[in-house]
Amino acid sequence: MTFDDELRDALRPSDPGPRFAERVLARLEPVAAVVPVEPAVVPAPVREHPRRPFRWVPLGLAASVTVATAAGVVFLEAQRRAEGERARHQVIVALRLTSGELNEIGRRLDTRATPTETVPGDPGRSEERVP
Amino acid sequence: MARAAVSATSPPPAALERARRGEPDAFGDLVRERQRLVFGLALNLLRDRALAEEVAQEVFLQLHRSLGGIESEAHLTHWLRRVTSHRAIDVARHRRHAEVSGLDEAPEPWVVRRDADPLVCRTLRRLVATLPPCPRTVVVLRFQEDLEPAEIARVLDMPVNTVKSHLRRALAVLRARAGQALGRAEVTS
Repeated sequence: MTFDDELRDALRPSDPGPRFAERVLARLEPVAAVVPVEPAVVPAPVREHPRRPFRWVPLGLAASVTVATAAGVVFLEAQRRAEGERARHQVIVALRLTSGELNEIGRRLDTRATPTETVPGDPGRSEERVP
Repeated sequence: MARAAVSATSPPPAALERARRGEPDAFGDLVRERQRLVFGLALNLLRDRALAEEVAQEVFLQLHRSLGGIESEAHLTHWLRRVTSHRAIDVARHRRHAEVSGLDEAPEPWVVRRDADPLVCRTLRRLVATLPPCPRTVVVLRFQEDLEPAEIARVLDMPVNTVKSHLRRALAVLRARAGQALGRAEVTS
């Protein structure tokens, strides 16, 4: 036997022993390696109508949308009514002002329409009528 | 003969493909098929069963993460040799000053052929372990895996001439020390 053969014999690969692959797999998936817990002796009662935790959510959403829409409509209606009221008030004020102005103009016109006396010696100038 | 040895140790081609497809038990089969190569290489490089097991497990965990990049059985074998060698060299360098003594008293973990002399085998393993990490890896890859210097160079990312140089000098040292340890006047190659 040569020295090379002796080295081959000495360095012949050996096996890691039993369950090496299982140890590798246990490190690979530590959760899967956990021994499953035995089930409880008394099983939990089964509900006839299983609880649905989110069944009120659509109803709540619908109610919220309805309330929001109604509030919006009411608000817009009140706003429109206030604007109308304001416009009506402005028209009344404007009419009052116009009426006052017209009265003043009429009074002045009446004042001017009174007959005047002609000043003698001055043909271009007429005398104002004495009230 | 070498081809027969390779075919005897090569796994069925389905294991790698099944593992790549993510079948549940396939990776376990792949580990079982290749554990001898990986663990044997680590054990011959480190001479410490616990460390070799740790290195071998790490190599297979890394293989699981890299399965997508493995293209063939030959690629897998090359990948395992390469990663195991580099990891073992790193570990050996870290524990270089704590080189184990008294290993001869430890239980014999190696498989010894019937016609092989256990004393010679044990002495040679001890002498191989005294080599520096790089020459030791070259010797182990040459005589455990039957790799040619060019293949060893590819595994270790090393020039072929460096591999040949490591091999020549390591064998000279091993022959001389084996001659002294075993009381032989001359060790034939």
